[in-house]
Amino acid sequence: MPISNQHKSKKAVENLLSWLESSPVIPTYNGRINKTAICKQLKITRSTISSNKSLKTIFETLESEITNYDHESSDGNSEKDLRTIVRQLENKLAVAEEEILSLKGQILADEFLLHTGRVIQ
Amino acid sequence: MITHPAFSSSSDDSQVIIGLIKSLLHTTDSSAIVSLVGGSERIKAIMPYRSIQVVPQIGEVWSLTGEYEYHDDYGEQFITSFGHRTLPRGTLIVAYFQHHIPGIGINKAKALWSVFGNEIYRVLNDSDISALTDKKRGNLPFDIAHFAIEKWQINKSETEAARFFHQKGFSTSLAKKALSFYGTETLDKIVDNPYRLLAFTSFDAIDKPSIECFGVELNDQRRMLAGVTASVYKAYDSGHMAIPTRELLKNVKQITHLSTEDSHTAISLALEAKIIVENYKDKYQGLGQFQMESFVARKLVQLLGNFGKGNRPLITPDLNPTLLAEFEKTNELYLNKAQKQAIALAFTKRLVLICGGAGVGKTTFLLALHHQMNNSPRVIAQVALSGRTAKKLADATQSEASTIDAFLTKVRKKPLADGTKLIIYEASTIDVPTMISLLRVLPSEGSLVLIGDSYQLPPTGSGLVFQALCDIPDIPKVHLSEIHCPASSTGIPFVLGDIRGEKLPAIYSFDKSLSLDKQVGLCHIDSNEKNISSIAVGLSYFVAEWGETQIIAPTVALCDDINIQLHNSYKYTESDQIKPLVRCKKSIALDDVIVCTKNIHSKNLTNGSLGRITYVYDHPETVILANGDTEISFAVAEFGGEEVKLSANDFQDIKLGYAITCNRLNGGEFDRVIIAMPESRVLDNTWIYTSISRANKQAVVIGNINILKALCISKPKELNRCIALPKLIEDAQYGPTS
Repeated sequence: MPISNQHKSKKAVENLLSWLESSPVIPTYNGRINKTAICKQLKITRSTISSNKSLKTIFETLESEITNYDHESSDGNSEKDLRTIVRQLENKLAVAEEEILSLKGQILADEFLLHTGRVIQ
Repeated sequence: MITHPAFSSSSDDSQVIIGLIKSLLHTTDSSAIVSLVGGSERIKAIMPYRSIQVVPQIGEVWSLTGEYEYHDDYGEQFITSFGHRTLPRGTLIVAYFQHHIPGIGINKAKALWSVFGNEIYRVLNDSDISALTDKKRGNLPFDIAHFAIEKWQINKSETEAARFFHQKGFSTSLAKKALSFYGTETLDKIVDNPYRLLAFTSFDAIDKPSIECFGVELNDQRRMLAGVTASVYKAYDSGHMAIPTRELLKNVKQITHLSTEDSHTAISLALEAKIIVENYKDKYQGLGQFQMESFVARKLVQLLGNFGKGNRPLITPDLNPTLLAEFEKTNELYLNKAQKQAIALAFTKRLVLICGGAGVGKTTFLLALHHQMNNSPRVIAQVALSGRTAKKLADATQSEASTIDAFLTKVRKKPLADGTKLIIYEASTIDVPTMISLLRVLPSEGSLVLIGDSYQLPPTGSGLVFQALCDIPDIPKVHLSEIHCPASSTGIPFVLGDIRGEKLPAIYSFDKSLSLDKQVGLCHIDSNEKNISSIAVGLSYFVAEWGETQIIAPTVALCDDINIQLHNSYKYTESDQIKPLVRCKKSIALDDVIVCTKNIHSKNLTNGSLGRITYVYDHPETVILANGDTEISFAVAEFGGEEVKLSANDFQDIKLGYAITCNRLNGGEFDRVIIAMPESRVLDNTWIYTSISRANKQAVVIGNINILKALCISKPKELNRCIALPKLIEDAQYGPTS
C-alpha cells in the first residue's frame, strides 16, 4: 500500500527528532548547517523542508543554536573577547618572532666574527 | 632578436634582458652558459662569474646587461657584463611561482596568471594576502599565500639591493653579503653609513664610492671611524689580536690619508664609540678581538679555578700509581719523572700544558694517560688541526681522534659528555678563533690538555694561545725534554734539540747511494739559488718510493715554481696520455697533491689541509649538501683518509701542494721533508726548526750550507704577534689592572 504524503512528512519529522536526540555531529557548510547532508542521511527529500512547516521550524531552531554556539566559545567568551585574545597572541607572536630574528642575527654576527675577525655594525 | 615584453632593451650599445634560467648548458671555473627564456623566446647567455658573482640556478629569473654577439659555431649569444637575480615580469611569474613556491604547480600558477594578469605584481608588492586567499580570486590556502608574499618580498629586497649596489659602484657579491646580514634593511643601513660594508671588503673598495656617490667628506666621522676599524682589521689579518698605539696611528694615516691630528681624533672617536678598547696604555684592541680574547681568558681561568657548575669546586680524582706501574710493566718501558708528572697533572687538573719537541715521549705520555682514564668514568676526546696529525694520533693511541673541524661538526649534533677530557695535539697550531670554538663545546665540568711545541712557528690564523700560555706561571705545565730511544735513532730529535739550543747540529751531505734505512737525520745538498727548485723536483722524484715526502719552501713564488714543474712531470700517464684535468681548475689534474689555502668549513677542511685528487668528473656532478643546498662537484679528493667532493667554489681556495710554505703545514708530519732554501727574509732559527720538525726520519736541505749553519745557531725570532691574552687572563684572575 502506498504511503501518503502526510505520513511521509510525519515520519520525516520523527526521524529528524530521533536523530537529534542521539546528539549527532551536525554537518555544516560555510558555517551553516548542511541541510542537504542531513536530509541525505535521514532519507528525507531536500525540498520537503520548505513544504513541511514542522521540519522547517526544527531546522530554523537548529540553525539558530549552531550560529549562537559559533559566536560563543565553550568557556563563554564572546566573539569580541576572542578577537582580543587572538590579537594579543598575535602581538606576542610578533614580539617572539622579532626576538628570534634578533638572536639569529646575533649568532650569525658571532660566527662571522669568528671566521673573519670583523664586527657587523 | 628578443621581442617578448619580458625582455626589455636599454639605450646605448648594451641591452638589459630579463628571463628565466631554463637550463645550465655549460659551467666552467670562470663562467656559466645558460638558456634563458622570456615568454616563447629563448636565448643563450654567457654569464662570466666576475659579472654575476653567484652561480645561476635553474628556475631563477635574472636581469642581464650586455650585448648580443654572433659566434660562427654557436650562433647568437648574449654576453653579460653585469647581471643579478631579479623579479619576474609578465608571464614569467608563472614559472617563478612554479619554481619558488612549494604548493603551487604549473596549473595553479597559470590559473593565478589568468585571474590576476599584471595585477599579480601589485598584489605581491602590497602583500595583499586577502586577494591571494579570496576564494573567488587567488583561492590559495593561507600558508601558501603567506609564503608566496614573504618570498616575493625577500627577492624584491635582493633585486633592489643588487641594482642599488651596481649603481653605486659596489660589486654584486658585496650586495649578497650585506643582504645576508641586513636582509630587508640593507639599503637603509648602507645609505645611513656605507662604511658598514667594511665588514665584508677592504676600505679602498668602499671609500671611493662612499665619497663619490654618498657625498662623504674626507674627515666625516663615519669615514674616520672606518679608518680605525680598517687598521685593526689589517693587524688582525697579519695575525695580531692587538695593535700598538704608534702602529695604529700609522695605519690610520696610511689608510685614510688624514693628517696626524685628524688621525689622533679618529682614534679618540673610536675609543668613545667603543670600536676599539685600550688594553694597555700603549696598546689597543678592536672590539671583536677584545671579545674573542676575553672569552678565551675567562674560560681558561674557569678551568684554572677548578670550579664546576655553579662555582662548585670539582672533586679531582687522584692518580692511581698501581695503574701507572701496570702500564710500564705491560709495555716494557719506564716513564721518566717529567712524564709521570705530566700524567698526574693531566689526570687531576682541568687545564694542563704539555710542552716538548719531537721524540720526547709525548705519545707515551698519551698512552699512559689513556690507561689511567680507561679505569675512570670520564672520557677522552682527541683532536688535531690537520687530518694527517689526527690520523697519526689515532694510530698511536689506538683511540678515536678527529680533525678539529670534523670534531666540532660532530659535537654540535651530539654534545660531549660531562667531564670529558679534551686533548688538543699540536696545540701550537691553534689560533684564537679555533680555541674559542673548542672552548665553547667543552662541557662545564670538562678539562683540557694542550700538547705542543712552543718553539714552532705561530698558527696560520690570528692570535697565539699555546705559546702565550707557556709563559704564564699560574698555568700547570710540564716540559718534556728527555729524548726517547726509538725516536732518537733517526737523529731528528737531537738535531731539533741542538737548533733549539742554538747549537750546530750534525749535518750530512745527502748520499743517494745509501740504503733506505740509513737515509736519516739532517742532510744537505749544496746548490746555488737558480738550481734549488729543479734539484727539489728531481729529489722529490728520486725519493717518491721512500715513503711520505713533502717539499717545504720559504716563499709562495718558489712553491708555485716547484708545483708547476711537478704537476707537468706527473700529468702524463704511463702510456703518455694526459691525465684528466679538473674542468674548473685546469692547473690541477688527477693524482695531483693539493693544499687548501683557506678554511673550507663546509667540507671540514682547514687552511693547510693536504690532499690528493682521486677522481675527476668528465661531466660535473650535482651534489646535495647536508644543509640542503646543491653544488656542482668537479673532482673528488682524499684528505687524511676522507673522501671529499670539491666544487668550483672550493677550488678557488685550493692549489697544488707538492711544495708548501712552512706555516701552512699545520703540524703535519712526514717520513721525509725536502727543504728548498734560497736566501729569504722569512728564514730564521724558528723557521728551520719548524721545517725540520716536520720530518720523522730525514730532512734534506737544498741551498747554501753557510746559510743553513747560520740559521741553526741564530737566536729564535720573537713570536712577533701583538696579543692581549696574558693581560686578559690576569684581569680575569685578579680583576682589571691598568
